[in-house]
Amino acid sequence: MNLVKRVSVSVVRHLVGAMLVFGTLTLPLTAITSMAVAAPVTIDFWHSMTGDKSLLLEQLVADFNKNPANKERMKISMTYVGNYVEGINKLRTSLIANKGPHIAQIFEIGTQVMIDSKAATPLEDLIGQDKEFGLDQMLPQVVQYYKVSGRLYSLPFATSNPIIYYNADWFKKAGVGAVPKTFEELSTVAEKLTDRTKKLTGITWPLNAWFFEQFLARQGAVLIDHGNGRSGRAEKANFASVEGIRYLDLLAAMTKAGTFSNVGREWDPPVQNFMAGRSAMLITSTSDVFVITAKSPFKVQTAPLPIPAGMDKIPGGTIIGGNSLWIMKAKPANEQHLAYEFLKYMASSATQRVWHSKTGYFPIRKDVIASLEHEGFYKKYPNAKTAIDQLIGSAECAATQGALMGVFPEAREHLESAIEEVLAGKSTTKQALENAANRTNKALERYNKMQNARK
Amino acid sequence: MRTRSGLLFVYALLAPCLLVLGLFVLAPAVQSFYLSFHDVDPFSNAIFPVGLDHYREMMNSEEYRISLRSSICFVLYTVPSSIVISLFIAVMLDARPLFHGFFRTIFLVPVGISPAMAAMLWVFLYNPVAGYLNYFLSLIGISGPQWLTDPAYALAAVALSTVWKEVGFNVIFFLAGLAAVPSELTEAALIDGAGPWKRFWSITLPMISPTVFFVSTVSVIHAFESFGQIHILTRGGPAYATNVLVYNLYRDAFENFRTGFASAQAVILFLIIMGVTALQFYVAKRRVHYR
Repeated sequence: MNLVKRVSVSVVRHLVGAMLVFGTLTLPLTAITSMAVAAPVTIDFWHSMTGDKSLLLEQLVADFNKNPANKERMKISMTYVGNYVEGINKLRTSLIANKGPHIAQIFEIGTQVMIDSKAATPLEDLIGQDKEFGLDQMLPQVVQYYKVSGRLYSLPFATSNPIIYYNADWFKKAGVGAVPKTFEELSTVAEKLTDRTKKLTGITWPLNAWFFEQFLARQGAVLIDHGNGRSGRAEKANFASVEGIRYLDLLAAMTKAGTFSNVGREWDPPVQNFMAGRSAMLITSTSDVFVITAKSPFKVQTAPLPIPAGMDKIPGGTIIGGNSLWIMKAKPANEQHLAYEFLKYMASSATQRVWHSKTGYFPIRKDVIASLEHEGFYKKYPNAKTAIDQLIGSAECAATQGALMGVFPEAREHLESAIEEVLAGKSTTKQALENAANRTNKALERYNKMQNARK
Repeated sequence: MRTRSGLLFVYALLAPCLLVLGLFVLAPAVQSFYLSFHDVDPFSNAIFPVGLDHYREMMNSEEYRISLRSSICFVLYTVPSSIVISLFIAVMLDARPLFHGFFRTIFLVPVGISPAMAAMLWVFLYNPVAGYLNYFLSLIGISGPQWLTDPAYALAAVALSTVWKEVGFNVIFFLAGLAAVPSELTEAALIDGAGPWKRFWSITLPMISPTVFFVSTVSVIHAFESFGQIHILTRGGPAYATNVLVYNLYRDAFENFRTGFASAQAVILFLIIMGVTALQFYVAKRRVHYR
């Protein structure tokens, strides 16, 4: 009784003390800011996050809005605008009506279109001489994707790459010791893990073209010409290259053998397949690493993507996927600057730490990785480290920079259809990839013609 | 009767409807027609005339041909089957079996569910990992196909979900049509010794032919314009199997930012539907019996 009373009294005393200190500290600050601006400016932020990720994002935004240093000046207002495709369409129509947001979250394959739209202010222009932003702390493998003609256009926010997830219990039971490191090992290991009578397969992953792109980069090959569209506007797709055919041949052979489980293009079914214990391995984005590790009813371990045997000397690696945050040019300069301050907060080590350690997306900063490493975070969660090692180990070259093209969504559609045709046995690998490349070439030609006409 | 003020009154009554239709249907349609001869810059809405390029591209595009074929297959899969099934159900219900009110409600439920919700239900049924449909099939010893990821089954799977949704809508019309068949006719046929089959073919069907005609016309238009279930179930895949005309149009407009090309596809789709409807009217003139 006495103890409770004493504790509560001391709590009250501390609270009062804290409030007094806090009040005296912020008083001059609020006085200054309230003199400068009358009401806080609303900064509109359009995003496409769903589920846990959107809740976490809301939390981050709420923390920013609550901060007394920001509260008087601005309020970030978040709006969910549908998935990435719907989001970029809303942005497009809103810009025509001159009613767009200050900040838009755009998928990585919308980068070229965003640059061509000339609707955004390059982030690097806003950073200017601001050392606090910490541009030098950013991972070069992340920054290189959004750096076009030497300028960083947007803030890489949610970035990820694919890794192998495997069911360690299943591996043990099947007597498989090592995770496959090469394409060849991938097929043989998948074969060992497959149980045809019980309909259990060795491996599964989405047919999404993102994986085609990643496996190409892993082999050091570009997806499109002109150095992945980085040294000039791309004109030809490189889908039917040796590397492209090699990847699709592997996938087709495993499908035919019944060791790969094809559950379509969508992201969720392969994860369900793996977590339900129906596939021993899964290749998918690292962005779900904590969920998959925690919620699978068996021991999950992770490994980097395999490469063809004997190709470990070829410079290559993975490309970052995900999205980035863009600041719109149509807004007044002072509002753009406020939006920039929010992005600076999003890029800060404190925010990146939370974002990374709760989702599995990369931290975009070296200092976050170093401090987490120092604290033993990755000893506790080794699965979260695989993708980071894979990213840091990636060579910095055109292949891993990722492709830039204005018709990326269309190219992906052609690629995915080609993959499906091959897996359904309707076409040969080479023929299907050549068709997809031809269709993409036509789209590229059309897009480039349009861009020239605009000038 | 047709005085000037009478006519004015008629137009006054029609005005709100014409205004809404004009603003939201006619004006965009005219704009689509105009845009079909142009390229539209996605971010500035600046337009560049391209003449007949879009139409030429469609003529030469293999994708567009595949898309047209998928659309025609989709119409053939959904329209006759939904008409036959709904007519069968309507005739059964019209005979007033026990609990017919309950059954009527059951068959009408899918109509009341929004297309997106209905498609989500089918996503669970067809789920490649833990789909109910394949689970139930496995109980009777059948190993079900991969409904949505196998190009050979995807269009049929989408068609099945569409038929399920359309049947109830058609049943309403058939029930109304059947209720209007004079009972003296069927009774007279009964006295003449006609069996149920004969009565259906010679009396009921000719009597409700206007309803059959109406339902088939509307179903064909619906089938050509199907979008929601495809967007949710397959997104036009796998391997273009369900990439029907409307879906191809949507992708060009909203994923590939080709408003001009998509507009040209909309114009062609309009002409196709006009043509098919005109054909139906032509057939109807000779076959449909109006009292």
